[in-house]
Amino acid sequence: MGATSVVHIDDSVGNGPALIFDVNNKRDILAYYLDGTEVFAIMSDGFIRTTTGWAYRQIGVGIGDFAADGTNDDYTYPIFRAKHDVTIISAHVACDSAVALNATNYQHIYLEQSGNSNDIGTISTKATAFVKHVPREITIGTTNDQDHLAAGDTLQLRTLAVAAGVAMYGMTVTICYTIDQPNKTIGTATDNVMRFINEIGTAAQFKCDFASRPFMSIRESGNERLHIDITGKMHGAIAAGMNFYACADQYYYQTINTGQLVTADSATKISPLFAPHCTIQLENVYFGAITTYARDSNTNGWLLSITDTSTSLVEAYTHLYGSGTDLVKGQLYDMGDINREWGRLTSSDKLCVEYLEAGTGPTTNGLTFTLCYRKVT
Amino acid sequence: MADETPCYNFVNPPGTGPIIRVDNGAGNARDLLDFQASSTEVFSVSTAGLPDPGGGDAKRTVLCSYGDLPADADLIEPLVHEFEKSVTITNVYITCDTDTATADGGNTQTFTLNRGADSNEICSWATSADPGLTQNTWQSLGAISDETIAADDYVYGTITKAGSGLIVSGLIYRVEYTLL
Repeated sequence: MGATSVVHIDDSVGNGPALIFDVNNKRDILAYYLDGTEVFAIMSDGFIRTTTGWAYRQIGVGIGDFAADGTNDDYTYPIFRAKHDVTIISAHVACDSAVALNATNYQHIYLEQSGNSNDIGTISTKATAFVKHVPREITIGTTNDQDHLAAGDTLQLRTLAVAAGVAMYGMTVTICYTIDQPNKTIGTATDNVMRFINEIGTAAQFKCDFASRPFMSIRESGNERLHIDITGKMHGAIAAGMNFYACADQYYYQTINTGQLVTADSATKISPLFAPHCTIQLENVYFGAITTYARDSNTNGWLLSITDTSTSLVEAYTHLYGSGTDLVKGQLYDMGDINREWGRLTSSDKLCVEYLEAGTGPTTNGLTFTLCYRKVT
Repeated sequence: MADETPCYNFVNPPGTGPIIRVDNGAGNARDLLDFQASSTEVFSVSTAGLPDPGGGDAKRTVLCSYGDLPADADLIEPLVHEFEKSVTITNVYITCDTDTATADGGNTQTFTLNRGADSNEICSWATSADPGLTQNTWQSLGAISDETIAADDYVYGTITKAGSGLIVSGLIYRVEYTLL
């Protein structure tokens, strides 16, 4: 009995999922407790609730150099935007060169969001010295819900030079966040159909071994929400070969600061954005800059084209009247619908942005992109 | 959904709590789930509650868009990423937005990724071809060692020039990792 699983299914007859759960009241599907504390659960919408590293997502962004004279005070740096509500867990900043403490001349750094005026956290070289490459933590506030970033809002970074300020070079920011569970947990934890408590054995509680059939399908009122296929890959709903539903935690994000855009870059500069390790479906591209640019009244602007080096997936104008958008500093804007077929990128594809000037495109500082995608394979 | 022949089929069973609840004591080290394809594990949930799925779900990526790098960058050491939880680094790449100048004449850059806790080298790669770095081409930093990064530890870059070095425009680091 030593290695026996509680439920063990080998090579069962059938082609559909071995385990099917279909509920209409949003109850949890599976909850796992370790020493009395829940550490893993799957909800009926497919969301995985866990205390492990699985729940923690990471974003890294290069900010660049800060002048001592307060030039950068006018900038607001966009860091991140998500399709769903998220909670900021931690934030760290570092420089590529040392910055000494100075109680008179220093830089104050604010982590903020577009959704409300509360600081998420702050750090200052008045109280914190920087050693090259060593991250300094920005303590995240929680009392006014400032750690909560709503879907569509932008996480931002801003600086303020005090007195003569101090120069800071090669700043990078790392953010850790969790994706908020879309639905509330309902019911009583002990109201179960099956419950296993300290069952005898050392093998996994549930073990399945098949040659081809899917392992699990979770549904709400007959509509599939999570599917685990024979490769162990998790998917949203699968119908006719297309994923048409995915829970909030099936989406992943990357942010890239491509730096300054000048006339000489037109049709020349190609900024890399991402190269996936598996096939992905690009869902959204958000863009913004660190300074505000109003719509131009005539035809001076930039065409941003997100491509896989051969095909344009989505395009947006930065400044053009009528078809462009005001570009408010620190704010990330959705570039629009992505061609579904071309938006599927394999592990050999490269995503990049190309630039084409219309008229005289203004010099654009700190052009930043956030990518949102799902993993397909 | 006809003819699916599931082994277990729970359709609106009475109740509001989790359909299945599993309790392990603190000393019980057994996994929760173990899904195998022809006797090879492809999806599991560990005793700690950590999923280990298959396909692309198993690996994650973080970027660091550092920006422009001067040719004489020897003293620059950028933070590439700080990790909240323990991870295993699996691959590291760099790229740029413009071809670097010719690497002829012994002007090169060596890019190294280091672990914060002990400064051990994780991977390293030196430009040698011409161009040293090609626009929008992701260059692997090579074989990985000292790949385990503890919770709250970080990785950072060092850059060492030979000759006059190389200017790199729009340098981006891409780090792939799995969860521990």
